[in-house]
Amino acid sequence: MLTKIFYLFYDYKKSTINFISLILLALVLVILGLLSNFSTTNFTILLEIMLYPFKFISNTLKSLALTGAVGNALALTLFGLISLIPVIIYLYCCYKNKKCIEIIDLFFYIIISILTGVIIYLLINPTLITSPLDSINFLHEEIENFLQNYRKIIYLGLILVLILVVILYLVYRFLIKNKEQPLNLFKAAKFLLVIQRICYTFLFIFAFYIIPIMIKNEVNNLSNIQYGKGHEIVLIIFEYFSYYLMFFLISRVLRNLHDLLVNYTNEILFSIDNVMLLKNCSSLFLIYFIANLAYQLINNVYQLIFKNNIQNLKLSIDFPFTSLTLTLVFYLLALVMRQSYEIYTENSLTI
Amino acid sequence: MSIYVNLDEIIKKNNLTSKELADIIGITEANLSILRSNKARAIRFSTLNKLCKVLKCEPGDIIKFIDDDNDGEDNDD
Repeated sequence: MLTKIFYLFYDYKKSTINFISLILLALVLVILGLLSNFSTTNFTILLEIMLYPFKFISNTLKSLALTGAVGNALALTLFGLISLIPVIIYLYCCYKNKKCIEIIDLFFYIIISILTGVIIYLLINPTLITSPLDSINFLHEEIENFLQNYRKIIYLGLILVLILVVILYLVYRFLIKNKEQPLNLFKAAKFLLVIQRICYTFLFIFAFYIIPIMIKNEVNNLSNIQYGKGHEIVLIIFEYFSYYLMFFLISRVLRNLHDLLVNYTNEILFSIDNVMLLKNCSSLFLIYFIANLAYQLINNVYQLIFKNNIQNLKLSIDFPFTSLTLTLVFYLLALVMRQSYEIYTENSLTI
Repeated sequence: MSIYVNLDEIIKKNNLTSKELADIIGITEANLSILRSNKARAIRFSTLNKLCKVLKCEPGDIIKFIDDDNDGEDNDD
């Protein structure tokens, strides 16, 4: 079902082969998720996914360097070349356009190159990151554990910095590009469509890669529980049903936004179709809001009823303010769009 | 709508075609067709002025008020 929703979104060429390939991709992600040893929060999982290619490159280079002198030299050259990829791209753009882009672009490319190089280098030689408590010998084991987490935090931090620099650069390019040509809604819609596609891709990864990891963690936690496993399973089923519903609703919202942006890129601004799409988004957020509250209510009431049989009570009290605000915002936008549509029709029928 | 645009007869009287009239008054044929088929929601004074000038008539000859029994229901679109 989820795969079908994603497939309907990625409808660049609707064919059975594409649908099957999407299902296969989802399966691969599920298997990877089940095999991976990631844990903890969703945000770090996303960063850890970003760290994957770096880990792969560093492991390859490390094994290449250990083969001998030639391998070492080759690994060093490859390391230099991989780190310099952003700068090479910059030089290639200069060569292709026959003129250099601004110096600030070069600055960004160098920063990205340095960060890439540093991340790969630190992954090849993790011992470079040492703890400030290294001199205390009697705490050796604790320090070793601490050091592993410390290194992980530094790697993930560097990845986060790299992503932020890339985003900063893209925003800068976007602003510079639009300084030359004034931005209008139809052009902005094209950019938003790209952002929206990225969101959908993240949702796809989240649905088929991170959820299996989370389920795996739940199973591990379940094995550590002394009593009330049945109740815990019921609570997990509630939780994952609510996740499914949230995914479904968010993907439907994204689908509606996608159609809206496609209409905007085709320069269809005032149409009843757009009003309906905005209204749908508003309704979906309202359902999201109600579903969230209902889930919390059911979850809390269930736990309170069986409080003596549940080992870890996890009551959740959270008012989904964002979804309520988005409901109102989309409803307001739909009303504005409806009014605009009426004015537009009136105007176009005034001869 | 109780307001009707009565252009067809006046155009015939003046021995003009829709295309010629649209070209003279500077509107598109599509817009003239909207006007002739009573689909227009409003008419600009400038358009009315040009129509009266070209068709040598009064605004009242072009626009007529007919009191329908089905008042209050819009037949637009």
